[in-house]
Amino acid sequence: MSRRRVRPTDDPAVVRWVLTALALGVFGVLVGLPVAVVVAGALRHGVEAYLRAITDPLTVDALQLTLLVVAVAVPVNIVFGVAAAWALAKFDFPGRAALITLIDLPFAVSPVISGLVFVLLFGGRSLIGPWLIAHGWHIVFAPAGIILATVFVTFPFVARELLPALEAAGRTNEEAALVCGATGWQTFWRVTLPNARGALLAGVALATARAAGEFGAVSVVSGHIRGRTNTLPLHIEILYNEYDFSGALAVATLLVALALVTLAIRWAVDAHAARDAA
Amino acid sequence: MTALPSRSTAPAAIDIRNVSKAFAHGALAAVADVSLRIPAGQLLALLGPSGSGKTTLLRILAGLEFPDAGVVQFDGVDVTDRPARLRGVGFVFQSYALFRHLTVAENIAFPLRVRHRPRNEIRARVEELLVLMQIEGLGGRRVTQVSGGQAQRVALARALAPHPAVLLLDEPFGALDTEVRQELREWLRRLHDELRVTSVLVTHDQEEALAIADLVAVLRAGHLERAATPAEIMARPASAFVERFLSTTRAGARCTGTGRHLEIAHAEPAR
Ligand SMILES: Nc1ncnc2c1ncn2[C@@H]1O[C@H](COP(=O)(O)OP(=O)(O)O)[C@@H](O)[C@H]1O
Ligand SMILES: [Mg+2]
Repeated sequence: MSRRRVRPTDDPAVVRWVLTALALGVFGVLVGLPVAVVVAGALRHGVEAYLRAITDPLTVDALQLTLLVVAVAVPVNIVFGVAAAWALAKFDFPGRAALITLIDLPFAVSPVISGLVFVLLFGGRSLIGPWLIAHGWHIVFAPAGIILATVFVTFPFVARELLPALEAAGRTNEEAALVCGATGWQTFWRVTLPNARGALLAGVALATARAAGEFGAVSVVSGHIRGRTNTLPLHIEILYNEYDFSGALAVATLLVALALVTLAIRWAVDAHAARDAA
Repeated sequence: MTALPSRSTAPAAIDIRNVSKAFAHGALAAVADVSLRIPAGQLLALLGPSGSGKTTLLRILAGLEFPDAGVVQFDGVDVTDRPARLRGVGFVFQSYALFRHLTVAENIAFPLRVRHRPRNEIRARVEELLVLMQIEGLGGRRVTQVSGGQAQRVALARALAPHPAVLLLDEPFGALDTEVRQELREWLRRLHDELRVTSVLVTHDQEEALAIADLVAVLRAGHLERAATPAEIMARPASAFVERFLSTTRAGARCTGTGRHLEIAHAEPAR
């Protein structure tokens, strides 16, 4: 008995070692190396050039637009994602399976196609496009279209993270809240959502990262009007196409920083959750 | 006892009349035409083998399940269609169903918080219940950091916090080991006598039922086989099933040889 317990950790020590090294190696090559290249490239012409690149008015405009897109797309997705996941987890209705598939649709189609759909829906040559434009509603080649496309592309993250958590939580805790005298609304805010807090934050983190970094869909609806419809990823591409490699990489560090902040928040939440569970 | 605004409700008499419930159309009924009266302030044990419909009947009393037919009355008032929230019952789930993101004290305070009771009243009531449940000092703990027996008391305290007229317990000792179990059930009986509440306790352990209940109702495949005092049931099981159910458990208990089960052969129900 005791022999058996020792051996599994004893024997594959080499295997464990190799696997760990492999994982770290792949991580280093695929994640660490690119980040290192970005930082090194951004600083190639010195700190001053770097600062000039990231304080360039066009860069600042792109950063502002990206933050605006995140600030609108993420909350909208939280509301829709929570509502969709909740309905799917708690109720069995006709069309439930179809709705689950539909939530994944933005993952299934190419982002470029997603962008194109919005151009075809709201563009100058679409059915409602001319009417919208006549009333001063600019969607295509305008921030509104970029936000719409981003909402669409990032839609699955929150719902997809939340759904399994809500399903796993089951009904018992909510029933307990109801017999305790809680209304449906109180039950949702005080029991359902806090129970799924970790999954919700994971979904929000992923949606935020994607909203800030989305290129394909945004590229199609943006029209690349500098200072007006350029997000950070689009701005990076323009700089790159103009052979301003260090400028492109300098702006890229802003996206990396955004991603790191999101990751840090997730780590903090996970650590908090782990402490709760202990 | 701490002085509290006197909101203690009187215990309610429970009337169950011809209640039936099937979970799928045409499926065998989980509860079939059960009629049962529980006088105010009594402790009834719902006894039966697994799958006999005990939990379903309890959930119907709580308003978590609604019968296909029949009527449930509390003190003569029809509550059949009244949602759980408005029934004034305390429910202790088999799995306790404590809120994991809240502390022990916050769990107990929950029924009062959602009723928007004043802060100092809530604090006093939680304090009072922690003492009553003999878990003083655990108020600040996470519910994930207490033992099974303590979690059970927290669940009971939460159920009792708003002074329910009816207390429903689904196999409250099921997850606990033998010693804790025996100690807790005596304590629960004393607690029931102190509180002004009508209790229904679900169990598949006939020794437990006979030992602490005023009334025992035996369920079999959704049907009520027998409802009587422990003394009457021991004297006249009145049906082959009840007889067999009591004696097989007894014989089974002898085989396990734990000793404590032997008592029930001479169980002398006090009440
Ligand atoms: N939510 C449900 N859906 C379908 N069948 C159920 C449900 N709950 C209980 N049942 C069925 O009803 C019967 C009685 O179950 P239950 O009341 O849980 O019995 P007990 O608590 O006595 O073990 C069982 O056959 C069970 O499978
Ligand atoms: Mg049960």
